[in-house]
Amino acid sequence: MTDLADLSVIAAGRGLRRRDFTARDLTDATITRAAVTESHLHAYLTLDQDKARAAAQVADEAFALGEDHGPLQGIPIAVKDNMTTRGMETTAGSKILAGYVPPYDATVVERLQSQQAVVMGKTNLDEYAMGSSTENSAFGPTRNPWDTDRVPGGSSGGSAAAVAVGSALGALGSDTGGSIRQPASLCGLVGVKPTYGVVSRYGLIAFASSLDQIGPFARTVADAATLLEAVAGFDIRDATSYRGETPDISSLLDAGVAGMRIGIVKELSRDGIDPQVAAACTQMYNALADAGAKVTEVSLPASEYALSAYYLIAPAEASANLARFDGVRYGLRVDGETTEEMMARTRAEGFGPEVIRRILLGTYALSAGYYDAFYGQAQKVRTLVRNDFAAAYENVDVLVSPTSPTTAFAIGERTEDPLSMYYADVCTIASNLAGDPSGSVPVGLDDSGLPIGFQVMAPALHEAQLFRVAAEVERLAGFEARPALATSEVIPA
Amino acid sequence: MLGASHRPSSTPSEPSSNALCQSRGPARDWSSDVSPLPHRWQRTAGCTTRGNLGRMPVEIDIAKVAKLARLALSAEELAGYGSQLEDILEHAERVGGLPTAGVLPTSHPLPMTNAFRPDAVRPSLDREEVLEQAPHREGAFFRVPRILEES
Repeated sequence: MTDLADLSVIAAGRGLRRRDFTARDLTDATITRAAVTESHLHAYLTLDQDKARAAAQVADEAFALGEDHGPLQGIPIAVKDNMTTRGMETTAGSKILAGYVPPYDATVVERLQSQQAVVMGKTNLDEYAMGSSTENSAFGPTRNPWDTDRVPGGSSGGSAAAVAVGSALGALGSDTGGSIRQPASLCGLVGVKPTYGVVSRYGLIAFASSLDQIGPFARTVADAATLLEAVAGFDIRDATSYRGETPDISSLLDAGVAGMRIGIVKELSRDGIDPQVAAACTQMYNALADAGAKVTEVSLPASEYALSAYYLIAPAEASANLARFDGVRYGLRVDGETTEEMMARTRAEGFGPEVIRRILLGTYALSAGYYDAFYGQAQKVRTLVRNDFAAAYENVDVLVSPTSPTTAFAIGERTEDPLSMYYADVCTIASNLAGDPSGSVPVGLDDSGLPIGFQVMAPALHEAQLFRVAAEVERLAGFEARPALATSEVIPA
Repeated sequence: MLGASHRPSSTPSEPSSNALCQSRGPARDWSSDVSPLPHRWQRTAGCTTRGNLGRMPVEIDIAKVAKLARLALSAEELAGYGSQLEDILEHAERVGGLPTAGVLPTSHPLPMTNAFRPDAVRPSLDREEVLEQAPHREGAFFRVPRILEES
C-alpha cells in the first residue's frame, strides 16, 4: 500500500473520491512525512499542523455532502513564503519581516482555499526571492533531498524540497529569473513558469514586477497542469493580470509530439553546460525526434545578453519594490533620531547582503546620469530578446534546452562569488524577459545521483503546447526515481 | 530577421553615428562578436561591438547610492559592496554591445495599457489588523521619529 504522502495530486484526488482514505488521512501522512524529513531539509518556515488538519476536515465534510470543489479538494499544498497568508506569518525569507502577519491572503492562496486545498504551510526561499540556492534565506538554507550537502536550487528551494520528499503533494513557487524551474531541475520535479500575467501577483511580495510569476511544483506534468489551472486566471486586483481568456493548459497532454516543430536553443547548448546535463538533453532531443517531432537547432542571438540585461532590470525594479520596507508600518524597526536614520538603520540591519547588493545595484542603474546607459539600454535588449523569440516561433512550435547548466552544487560553493551564483540562471532568464511560459521536466540523474532538468519553452499564452511537449518528455524519460529521504521511516540525522 | 512582426515603428530616439546601428537589415549572428558562453561567467575585456554606448567608466559613488537607497552601511561595508557592484556592472554593461538604435524599450511583456478598474468603493483592509503590525502605533497612527531636521 502506497504511503499516502507519495501519491500524485491526481491519484490522491481519485482515492479521496473513491473513499479509499480521507483528506484527514492524507494530511496526517503528509505531516508525518514532514516530521521525519524537516530536520534534514528545513523546507518549511511555518508548518501549522492544526490549521492543516482543520482544512482537511472542511474538505472531508464537503466530500461527505457530495460537494466537489475541484481537483485540489483535500490535497496538501505548500506555499512559498513570499505569498501572503492572512493570519499566518509571512517573512519573504527576510529578517525585516520576521513575525509579520499579513492582513490579507494572496489571490493564489484565496483560490487554493476556495477549492478546499489543504495549505500545509510556508516554505523557505532566498530572501525576497533573490538567489539561486535558498542559501540567502535569513533563516538558514534548505537542503537538497537527493544529497543534503547540496542546495535544492532557488529561490523556491523550500517548495521544491517539500514536494520532492512528499511533505506536500504540490507547491506554489515564484519565478523571476528561473526560481521555479531551476529548483525543479535540481530536485527532480516538474516546475512551470506561466505566461506573464496568467497568474495573479496580488499578494506576491514583489521582487521585479515585470518579471515575477507564480507557478506550480509537482512530481508529474499532469499534476503541475492541475495546480496551475487552479490558480490561473484574471484578477482585477493585479493591474498586470492578463485580461484576455485564460489560456488552455491541459487539453493537449495526451496529444504527443508527432508533427510538432521543436527548436534546440543553440546558445544554451554550447560551452558552459555540464557534459552529463548536455548528454541527457541531447538524448531527449533525439527521443523527441524519434517520437515524430521535427527537431532543429535555432539561434537566439540576443539571449547571450539576457543575463546582463536581467541583472540590470531585476535589481532596478527590486530597488523600487523594496523601498516600502522602511520600519514605518510593518516589520522590523531599528530606532533613529530622525525618520531617515530609522529607515536607513532598519534596512541595513533587516536586509541580507544579497538583497542589499541588488538594491544598491538597482538604485545606481536608475540614478540620474546612468538610467539611459544601464536600465534604459537593458530594456532595449529585452525587446531584442523578445524579438528573437518571436522570430524563432515563426519556424518552431516550442524551444528546448537544459534548465540549469549544472546539477545541484554544494552548499557554500558559490556564496562568496555572486557572479558564479548568477550564472545558474543562464538558461532560464530569457523566458522571464520575454514573458513567455517555460517549464522544467526531470529526465534523469547524473553519475552522482543528482537530477537533470529539461526545459521546454512556448510562445506567450501557449501553455497547452508547453504541457503537451512536457508530457511527452515525461513519457519518454520514464523518470521515476525518488530521493531516499522520501520516506516516513525515521532517519537518523 | 530581427522579429519581422514586432519591428518598432518609431524613428530612432537618439542620434547615432555608428553605421552598425540599424533597426532594419539582415540578421546578424552576434555570437561571432562575443566570447562563447563561458563555463563561469568570467570577466570579459569588454565587447567588441559598442553600438551607441561608449565605454562607461564604472566608478560608483557608493555612499551616495546607499543614501538614496536609505541603507546605513559602515565604511567597510560600503567599500565591499562598491567593489562587488563594479564587478557585476562590468558584466551587466555588456548590454551596451548590442546596437539598439530605433529599438523601443520593453517595460512590460504584455501589450497592455491603462489597466483600469471601475471607480467604485470596495471594502479595504481591516484597519485594526493592519495597525496591529505597526512597530510603533499611536491610536490610528503609525508613530515615527521626527522627519524634519531641527533648524
